[in-house]
Amino acid sequence: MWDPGEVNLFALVGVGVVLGAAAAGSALALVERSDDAIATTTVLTEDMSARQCTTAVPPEAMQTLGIVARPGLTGRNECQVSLGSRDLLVSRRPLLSGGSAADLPVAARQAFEIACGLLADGSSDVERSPAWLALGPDSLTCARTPVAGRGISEVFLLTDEHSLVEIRVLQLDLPGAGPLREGLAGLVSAAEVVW
Amino acid sequence: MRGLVLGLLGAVLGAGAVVGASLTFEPSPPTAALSVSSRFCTDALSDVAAGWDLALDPQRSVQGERDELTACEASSPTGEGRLIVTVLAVADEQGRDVAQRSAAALKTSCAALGPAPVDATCRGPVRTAGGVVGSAASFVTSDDRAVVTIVLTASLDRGAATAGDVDRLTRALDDRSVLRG
Repeated sequence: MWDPGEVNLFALVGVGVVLGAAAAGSALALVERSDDAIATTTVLTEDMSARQCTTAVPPEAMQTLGIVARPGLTGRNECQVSLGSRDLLVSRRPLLSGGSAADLPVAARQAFEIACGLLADGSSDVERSPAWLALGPDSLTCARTPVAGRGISEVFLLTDEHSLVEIRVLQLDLPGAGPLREGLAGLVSAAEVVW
Repeated sequence: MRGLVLGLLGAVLGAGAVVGASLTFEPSPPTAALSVSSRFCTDALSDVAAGWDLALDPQRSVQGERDELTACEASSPTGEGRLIVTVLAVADEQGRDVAQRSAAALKTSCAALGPAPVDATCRGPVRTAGGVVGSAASFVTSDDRAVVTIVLTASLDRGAATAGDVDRLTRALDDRSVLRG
């Protein structure tokens, strides 16, 4: 016959095993779930701040481009100056890697390559890492500038921190391509610093 | 007192068994992204680039933790004509296999190009205010392990003619053996 005291001790050990296993299982499940969340939601969608907007559009570059006004946030992660026939827009495109944070450089580079591929408009010059942006041979930029510097210019920059920045300028009154390139170079340099 | 000690001992044993089992039966390591041949751009794009008088740039690649991007570019002196092909080779990860990962990557590529994906492919013209300047397509390869994106642009008067070459490249690159070189 079993001694009732011994039965209770066995029961205590059994309950202890079950509780310990349950606690360890729950803890492991929680740890795995948080790893998974990191792996599948890696998105660069940090909102642009007012301070970043001001720094990304320096007064010197605006003066060179003949667009003198205070830049403001649009609420769509963009920094903008809109004066009708003279507009300027700097935006940081959100990136989704679909993988871990360590794969973001790959996602950023792909977004950059596609953006550069879609830059042509059939009438403007498109250049890859143009020397006039004065960023060094390893920089990743592509630019579309209108003939004679009048019209819409667009520059894509992939920063060292894997941010894809788009710069768009509409200017119809510039005397030539020189000031346009100088102004765009100023905006690209500022974007490199901010992002 | 003896009961409490035995209960605690049981809890330690139970927790140890669960942790031990989880370490023993850890999921197999993820499949690495496939490697693209170092001659991929030359082999795959030379004919199309020559047909549009585009000069092919050196092949570039970016290695992530698991994914790998190979980028090819060919352009005319003015930049008006341009061919860009990217191959995003994806690896599986915990909880998601390569088919799921490539489907997600395709959505991102198609969102950048414009058209929504249908049957693991999206394609359409590249339009500007002046009209069609090119064609673009993105698709998942037949083995689900890579997403290929093609953008071919030309002058306004030849933009519509790019569609045929983008379709030809899509059919050629859909074969995984091409990607493996």
